[in-house]
Amino acid sequence: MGALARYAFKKVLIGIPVVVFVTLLLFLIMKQVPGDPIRMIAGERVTQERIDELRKSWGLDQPVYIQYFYWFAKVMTGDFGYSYVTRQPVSYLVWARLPYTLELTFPALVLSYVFGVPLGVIAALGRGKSRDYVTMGISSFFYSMPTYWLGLMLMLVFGLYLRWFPISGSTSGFESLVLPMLTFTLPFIAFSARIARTEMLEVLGEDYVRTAWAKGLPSTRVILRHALRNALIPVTVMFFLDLPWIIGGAVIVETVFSWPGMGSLLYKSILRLDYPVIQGVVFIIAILIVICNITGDIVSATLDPRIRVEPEKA
Amino acid sequence: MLALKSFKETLLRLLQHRTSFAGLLIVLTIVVLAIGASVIAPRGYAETDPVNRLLPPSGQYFFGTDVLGRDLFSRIVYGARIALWVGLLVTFIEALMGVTLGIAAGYYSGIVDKAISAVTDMVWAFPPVVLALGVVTVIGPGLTQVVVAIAATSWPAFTRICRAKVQSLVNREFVLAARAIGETDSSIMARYLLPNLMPSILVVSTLVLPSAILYTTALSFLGFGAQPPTPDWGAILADGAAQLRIAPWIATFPGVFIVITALGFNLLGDGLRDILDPKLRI
Repeated sequence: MGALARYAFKKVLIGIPVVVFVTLLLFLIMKQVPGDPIRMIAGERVTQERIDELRKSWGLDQPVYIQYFYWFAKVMTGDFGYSYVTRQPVSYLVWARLPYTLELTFPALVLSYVFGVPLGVIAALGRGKSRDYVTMGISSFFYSMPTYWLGLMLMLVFGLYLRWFPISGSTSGFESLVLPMLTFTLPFIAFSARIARTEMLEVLGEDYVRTAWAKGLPSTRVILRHALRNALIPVTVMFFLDLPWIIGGAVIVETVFSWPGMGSLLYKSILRLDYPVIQGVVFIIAILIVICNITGDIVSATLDPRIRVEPEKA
Repeated sequence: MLALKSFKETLLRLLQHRTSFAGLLIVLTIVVLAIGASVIAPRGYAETDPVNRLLPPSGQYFFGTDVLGRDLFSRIVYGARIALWVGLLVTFIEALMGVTLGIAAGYYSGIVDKAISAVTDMVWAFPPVVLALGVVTVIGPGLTQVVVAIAATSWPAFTRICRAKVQSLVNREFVLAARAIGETDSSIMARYLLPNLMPSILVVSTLVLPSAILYTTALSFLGFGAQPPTPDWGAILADGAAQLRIAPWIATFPGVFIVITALGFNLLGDGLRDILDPKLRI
């Protein structure tokens, strides 16, 4: 097994306890939540016998760790249980909504990279000049912006006044995707630009870049081959580590635009104390986070062979 | 090196730094609004006036009125108190947790470091809004709960930076000397290492504060934070979202203030970083 494969395998092994830990923690937390789901489903005018019966049929009379074990074993077979509220299978609810969230988040990530990195590089190359101030000023502005407010303002201008795009929902195909996607993307372009600028400045100060300039190489070659290639390593890794944050943002953006993705599903489920759905969504998010982290680690190890060697303690 | 440069010198360089000077001015303006709210605001933040509901901005009501006829300008001015107070509180709790854990992880290598780093990585990887939603689900909605939730989920920035700094300092001569004269571990951490971390902690705090404001207002916007009639900017925005068609000013103004406040702190923080600790990445 090559060094890279061994490294990847180790990372995956570390990922498994993370998923178990996060879901167990959530499971325990959910058990402390005030409000009895059985009462919520059954309503007030139900006998105690019926409630006990229901509790038993949902497995809620067992000790917590048994409940968790059953839940996890079932999840391994793809069975996330049933929503307390709609009685639909959680796996159905989640799978039906996952594509909507991906449809929104994936283009946002790609666009933030495609636009953010060049902006950051332009700012770094013109350090202290007006283009640095302008690029970083605009990027600080978007970086400081709450996504829900940006969403509402886009809705107001492009939806209500100009009437170019529908203001909420997902029924008009691409047109209804535009505003939520912009809301997602703009702050992340700003974020990527900041990171790209920092990394680029760091690399531009390195000895090998100075050497490249001193050798009289053409500036495009120095910038693209010597500097940018190395600056892109941390930026690319950040790209993967960002994904969970984008998913976190999905809760807000999807709620603002009534977009039927996982984020708005999570929001609704929290309001209704619909534990099985909350568990299912968080499980998927935890898995996505672990996958992103592992991918990020593997990508950085591929791009930068030094990372594969465990750093020795000084 | 890392030792805290004199306050005067830092301030002087901050004033020469164009963008961070702008940030400082913004922050000071918001602080003045917050402190002087009762003088600046023409009306009380909960003062309703059913006759004058949903009025657009005018000379009498600078930012218009809301659905209960409350003066939006007054509510936003009082809201500055909440935003600043919440931001400071969250940042302080985060710094307390994060710095303690970070110094411990960096100072004691081995199992302590491994355990702290594992937890830190896990919390760091999880989106704060999702985690905070989980916390609020358990302890219920409210501003205090949101402060706890956000602080409990976003301290890793402090831990990571302090751990790395301490690791680079722990074998330096002044630490070895302290150990040689018989200083205890806790005394070395508190009296020798902590002062060297202060510049970085200050920079991280300035950059964490705006995101604390963004997260708490986001949770208030979703309805899990400040409850009526608290003039939290996020809560006002949530009211405004419901009235977007007929009274767009209600959603517009609190957002402008959130952006301006966050921008002020971010610009100030970027400037402080360039002055105090240019290599810091956050």
